[in-house]
Amino acid sequence: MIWGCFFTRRTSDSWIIADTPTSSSSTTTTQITDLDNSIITRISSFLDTKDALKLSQTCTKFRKIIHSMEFQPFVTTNKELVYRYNCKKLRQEIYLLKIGRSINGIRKREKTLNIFAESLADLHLPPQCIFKGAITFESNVDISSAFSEILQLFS
Amino acid sequence: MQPIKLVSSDGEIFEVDRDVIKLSTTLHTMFQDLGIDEASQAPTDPIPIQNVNGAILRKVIQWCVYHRADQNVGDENDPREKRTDDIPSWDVEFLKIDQGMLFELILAANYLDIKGLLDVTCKTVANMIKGKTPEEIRRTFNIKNDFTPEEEEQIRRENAWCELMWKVLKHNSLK
Repeated sequence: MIWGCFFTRRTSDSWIIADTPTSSSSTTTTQITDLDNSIITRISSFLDTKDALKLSQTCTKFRKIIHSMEFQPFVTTNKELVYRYNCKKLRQEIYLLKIGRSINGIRKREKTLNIFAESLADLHLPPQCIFKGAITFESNVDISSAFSEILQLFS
Repeated sequence: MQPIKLVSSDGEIFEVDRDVIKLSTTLHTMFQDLGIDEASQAPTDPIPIQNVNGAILRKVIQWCVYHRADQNVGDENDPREKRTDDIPSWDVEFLKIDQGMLFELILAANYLDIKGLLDVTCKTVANMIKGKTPEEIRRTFNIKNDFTPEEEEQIRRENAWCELMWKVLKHNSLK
C-alpha cells in the first residue's frame, strides 16, 4: 500500500528509514503569530469579550480575526454623546464624554478619556459594544443628518 | 490487535495501538476510507505523518495513550465548553512545555484532527492571555506591534468607549 498518496513523501525514503531518527529533541521556534487563523479563532473562542478585545489590540492579524468574531456584547451606559456645531471651524463635532463631565475645556484635560470626531464612525465604537446613553444636540446642529448617521451606524 | 506504525517527518517510527489512533479523526477517516477495520491486517509500511516531527509526535501519542478511554466530548455550542478552568491536572502537567513546543502541538493536533488535544492546548494558550494588558500579551508571546499611527488612534478611541466597562465586567465576574 502506498501511504504517500495520503501524506506526501517529504524526501525520498525519509519515512522508510526506521532506526535513525534525525532528531528527538525539540528546538522549535514556532510563535503564536504562525498559527492559522482558524486556530487563533479557536483560542479566542475561549476568551471573554474583555480579553478578546485586549488581544485584538496587540497586532493587526489578531485585530482582524477578533473583529470578525461574535462575542457577548457589552453595554456602555456611562457615556454620553454630544453633537455640537463649532462656529469657529464651521463644522459639526461629536464628543464622547463620561456622564456628568462638562464639554468645556475638553481639549485641555482628560484628553485620553474624552474624545471627539467629526463623524460617528470616526469615534470607532468597538464591534462588541452597544451604546446605551444620552445623545445631546446643541444648537445649529443638523439633526436630520445626525439621525441618519446614528441609524446607519446602529442598524 | 496489531499495532500500527507511524513515522514522523524526521524519520522516527512509533508503534501505536489502533484504539489510540482512533482519537485522530484524520487517521481514523483514512482507515475507514481504505476499508481497514480492526479485524484487518495492519499495513506493513509505516504511515508518514508529514508535518509532525518526532518530538511532537511522541507527545501527541503520549497524550492519546493517556486519553484513549475518554468518552466523546460534548457539544461545542454548550457554554460549559468555553470554560478554561477545567483542564485535567494530568494535562496541566503534560503541557508544562516551552511555548514553541506548545504551538507545534497545537498545529499537530489540528493537522491530525484530535479535538481533545486541540481544545486543551488552545485553552492553555487562552489562560496565558487572560487578565493581561495588550502590552503584557505582546511580551508574553513576543508579538510585534505592527499598528500604524492611525490604527493606534483607533484603538485609543475604542478604549474610550470601553473605559470603565472593564471595571463593570470585572465586578460582574466577581458576583
